[in-house]
Amino acid sequence: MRLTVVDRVAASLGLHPGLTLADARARRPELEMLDPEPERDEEAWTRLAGWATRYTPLVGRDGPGLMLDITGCAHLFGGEEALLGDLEARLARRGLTADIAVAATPGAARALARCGLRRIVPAGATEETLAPLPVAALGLDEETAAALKRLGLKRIGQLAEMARAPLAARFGRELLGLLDMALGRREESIRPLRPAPVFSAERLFAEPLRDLDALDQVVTGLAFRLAEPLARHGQGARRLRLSLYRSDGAFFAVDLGLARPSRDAEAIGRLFSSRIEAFHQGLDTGEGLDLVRLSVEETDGLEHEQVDLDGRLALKGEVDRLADRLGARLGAETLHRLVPGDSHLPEHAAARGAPSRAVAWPEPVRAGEAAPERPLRLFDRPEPVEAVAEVPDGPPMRFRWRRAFREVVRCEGPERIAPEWWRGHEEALTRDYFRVEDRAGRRYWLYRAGLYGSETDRPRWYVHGLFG
Amino acid sequence: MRALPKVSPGGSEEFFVPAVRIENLRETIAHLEAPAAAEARPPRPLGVEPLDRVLGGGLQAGALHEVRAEGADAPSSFGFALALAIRLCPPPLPLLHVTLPHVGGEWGRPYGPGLSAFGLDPGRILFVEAKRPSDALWAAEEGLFCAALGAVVLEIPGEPAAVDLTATRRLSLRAARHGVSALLVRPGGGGEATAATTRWQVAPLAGPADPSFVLPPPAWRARLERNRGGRGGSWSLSWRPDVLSFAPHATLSVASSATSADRAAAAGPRRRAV
Repeated sequence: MRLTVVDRVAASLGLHPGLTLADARARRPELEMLDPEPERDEEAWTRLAGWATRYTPLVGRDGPGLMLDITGCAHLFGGEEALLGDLEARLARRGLTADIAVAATPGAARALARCGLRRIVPAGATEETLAPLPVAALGLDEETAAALKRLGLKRIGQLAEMARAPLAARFGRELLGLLDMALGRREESIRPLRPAPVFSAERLFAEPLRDLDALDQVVTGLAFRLAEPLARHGQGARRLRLSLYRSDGAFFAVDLGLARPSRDAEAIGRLFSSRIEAFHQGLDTGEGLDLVRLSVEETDGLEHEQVDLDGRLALKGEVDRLADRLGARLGAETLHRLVPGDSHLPEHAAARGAPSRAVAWPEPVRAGEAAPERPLRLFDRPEPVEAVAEVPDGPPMRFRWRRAFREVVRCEGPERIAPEWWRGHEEALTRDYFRVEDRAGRRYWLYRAGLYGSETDRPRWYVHGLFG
Repeated sequence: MRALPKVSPGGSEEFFVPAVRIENLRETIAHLEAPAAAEARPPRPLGVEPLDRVLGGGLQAGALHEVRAEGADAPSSFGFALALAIRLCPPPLPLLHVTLPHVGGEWGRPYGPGLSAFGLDPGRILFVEAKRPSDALWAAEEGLFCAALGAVVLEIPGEPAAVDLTATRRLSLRAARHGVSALLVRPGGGGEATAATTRWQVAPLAGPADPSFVLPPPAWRARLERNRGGRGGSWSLSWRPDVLSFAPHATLSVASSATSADRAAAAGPRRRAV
């Protein structure tokens, strides 16, 4: 067993990852050890990454650390030095120590942080700052680091002065790649955990915000601010994220998807309000929130709404907004619409569609005073029944469903529905459907599966649906 | 009532709505306006003259109507309520159907071609399957707030505690507010108090044995147990999807139902304080 990670105190005592447990214990008998918990570590990193979005939306995992792209964000915090100070202070309040560096390239920042150097390096000074650092700061594997050491190449500066071709030949292109990225000779983009939002608005609170009602107002206010750029681009929000940063370092994110693009601030505010209510039963504001950000992550075209003559579009818009409200609180999966299917098989004649997909069904052909040909309710899976019927293809006379016998008093049928063999349902049987009424007046949609003689010699019966 | 601009510490402008919640205010206004709005909504005739007379011209739109079924027979109460909804809610007005997940497992899910054959375009309906009765009630109330809807059909079998007098009162008030009709379908519901404007108890109507192999349109024995505008009664009704109307049921006990209805009509609509 070996050490996987050590804290600062342990490191200062000469312990380092890779050391065997026995060695470590021999050197420091008072050593306190914990089993590694990679899953919980991963969770903690994800939480920390979420929290770090208070500085910039572009936060990525980066080896044993985080990479923040603060381009264009630092001035919001009063400059890079102030941002770095704030970050350190907040981490310290959570009981975390960190090696932080700011540089023009991810590679340079990474190298500085690896060496534990708290630096802010302006763009022009990258090369001279990195030159004296040990080559290991580039993040080399042990083998390469040892090989470079044998050649006397200890510093990044020395490496940078070497002829490139022999270096590549001896150590592979990866080494040059790492070097070039650190020195900014090669572009490296960070991989943020979430894509950058299209628009976002935020509010900082000098006095942390505790009241959830006030939070609703703040969200609506932020949505108002977002409405303006959205309108200017003829866009409406499709997906939004509300990020809540608690002053003690906890972080909450609330995501919202809309059935139709919208920039209606009041409506967006209400949706978030009900979402917060539903999913964070008494969202624990603790000491209070010190930063609230609303981001539009996906948009869709939304020009000025036109209403046709009978106002159908306006109706649809209203109902879509209702669907959004219901979906926000109950979950989008609880909503659906029925759209016509392209099959004559009863179970495929209707399909579930998205709440926003209102499709008018074709007008059915009705033959005067007659019973509807299809039941009001259909079982997801037809329920088997025991039925007595004349062979080969007579109507059912009696059947047993859900433990009760039902005598067929009236009946209409059969309606023969052939399997769709061209869809690969070779094993499927022809069905003969009957609409039947029992002595109590209840109506059932029964079918016999299989043609007697040609397909089966013991046809089974099923209840597929119930009439009103 | 305009929001007051306030300068936040960050220097950006935010809008704060004064302490009075807009929601409450709206509710108050709606209460004040409700009687006038109800007057303005003419009753919707069901298509059977003696029945419509007892109802004072027809069924009130923008009100709560409750449909129960003997023996927890969900399909017949659902069918009857849909027929009422079709009469209350002319196309293209959309409908909201709210139920609980287990209902579909037990009685089957509403079926597009069946709804269509019954006379209701399934494309007009937004379906919700709420996990708990309290969520279903909430969804129905939200639907009643949406003035664009024609009707909300809330199907809750049995007697969950959440569906009490208070809950039906809320549904009733909200229905009146925007004129969205509420249909509460409660197969297997007991005799508990309700704030519904009308309450029906329905059972499928068995026809005589018939060797003709042609089924007549669906029919029910419908007992009007509660009628805020007048007296109750019992009718044999069938539903004609071809003309989207109820009709007196042809073969059974027309005479008895007609006489009871006629008596009711002769007595005039007796107003009761509720």
